[in-house]
Amino acid sequence: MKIKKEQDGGRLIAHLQGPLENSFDFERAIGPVKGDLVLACSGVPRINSEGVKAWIQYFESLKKKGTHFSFIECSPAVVQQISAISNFACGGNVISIQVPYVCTKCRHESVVLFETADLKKSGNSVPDAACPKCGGQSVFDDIEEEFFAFLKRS
Amino acid sequence: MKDFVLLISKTPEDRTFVERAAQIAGIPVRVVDSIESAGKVFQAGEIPQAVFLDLPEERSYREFDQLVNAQSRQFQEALLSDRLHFLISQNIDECPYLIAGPYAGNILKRSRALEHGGEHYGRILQGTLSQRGPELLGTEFKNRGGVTREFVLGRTIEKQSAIEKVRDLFVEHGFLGRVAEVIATAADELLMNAMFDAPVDGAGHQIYSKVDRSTDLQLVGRHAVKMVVGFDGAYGAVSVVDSFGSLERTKLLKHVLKLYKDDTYHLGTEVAGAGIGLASVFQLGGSLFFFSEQRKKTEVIAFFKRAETFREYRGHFRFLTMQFR
Ligand SMILES: [Zn+2]
Repeated sequence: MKIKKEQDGGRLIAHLQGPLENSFDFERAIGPVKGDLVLACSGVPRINSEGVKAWIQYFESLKKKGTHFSFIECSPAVVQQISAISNFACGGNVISIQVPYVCTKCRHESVVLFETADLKKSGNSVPDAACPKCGGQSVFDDIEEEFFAFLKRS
Repeated sequence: MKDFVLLISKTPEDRTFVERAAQIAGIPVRVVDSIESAGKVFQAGEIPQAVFLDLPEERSYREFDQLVNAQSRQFQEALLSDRLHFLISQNIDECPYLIAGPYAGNILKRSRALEHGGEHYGRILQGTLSQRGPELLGTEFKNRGGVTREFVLGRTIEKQSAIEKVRDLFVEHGFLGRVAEVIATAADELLMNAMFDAPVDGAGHQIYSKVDRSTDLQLVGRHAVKMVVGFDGAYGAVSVVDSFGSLERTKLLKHVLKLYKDDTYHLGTEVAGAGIGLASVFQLGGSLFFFSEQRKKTEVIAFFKRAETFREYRGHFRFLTMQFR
């Protein structure tokens, strides 16, 4: 995994890129955090059990330090973990997630970005979308109760 | 031991499923609709090759337990957990009695598509009845025109590039991108298990359990790790073999149960190593076949349904098969 950092006023945005595997050293890759930390997670295709451990260790330690952090553009792989593991977000706010879609015509896989606040308002129902490849009808492609499970907890 | 498979269930879907599975394994099926009727079969002195039991609630489990305990020692020794297949509709965490008890060799989690899974499970059943282990990837895919690819890893740091190759292979051959990522994760977990959790010393103590998983270790001699991946039109699979045979059934089941607790698993910062990664493969929608010969070898195979959509993939029936010899 690689992390690209960007200072945006009082907050640090860290763009995560690549699979989260083994004991990835977040502490070293992100460095000292002044103000709030925002994790942009659209580039994380998968996470293994060691990656889960490293993630939880890092964000639990941030929480203890009193640092505010939130997650944006969470990829389906990240959402899957947030939904499956009750303390995966470690108290951080999940602002937006990438919802997986599949085209009913050409089977192309895509994602559509949703704000979690909007999803909560709509009762986790997401509208169909146009396939970015063929323009056909693209539909939500996962098990609703499992994928959106974290929304029911918060 | 008589040459038949006994199904204890009232459900027509179970019957379709087990009949197909038994046909593939080349064994006839006898169906009874209650544990009481199964008792009559057992009392006639007939020990089936395998028993499939519908387990809707704890009461059925207790009833089955009583029935087994009422049989002769010879019967009890012949009908080991290896030969028992429990059909459940609930999540695994909803039947802790099954996990805690001595019978949980093979657990099948039903889905709407159960009746279509019989053919696949038939080959698994065959594997459970064979004495020399499954070697499923060698036969399963090659015999049916599928593709297999072998990876021999010389060092632990070669894992990363191997799992990228696994991912690319499945994408190239038309698996869904998200399923290919799940298969890559499974390959990763199976390899980590074989490289770091499986090695034990003469006293049975783990050698590398505390070692960081990024450590560069040479994989020679007994530490050699072989991975085979394969697929055909219906399934994809990853198999990893180690030469230690150190996997424990109770530990494995404990982790599976923990992953399922309250539908989520709450991880502390100190997470126990062996087993949790393997258990997570099941949670990601894979089926698992464990074949372990104590102190000789462990083969772990993860199976994934090839599907048009992720929803279809997730809806497929799953199994957890554990053969400990
Ligand atoms: Zn399309």
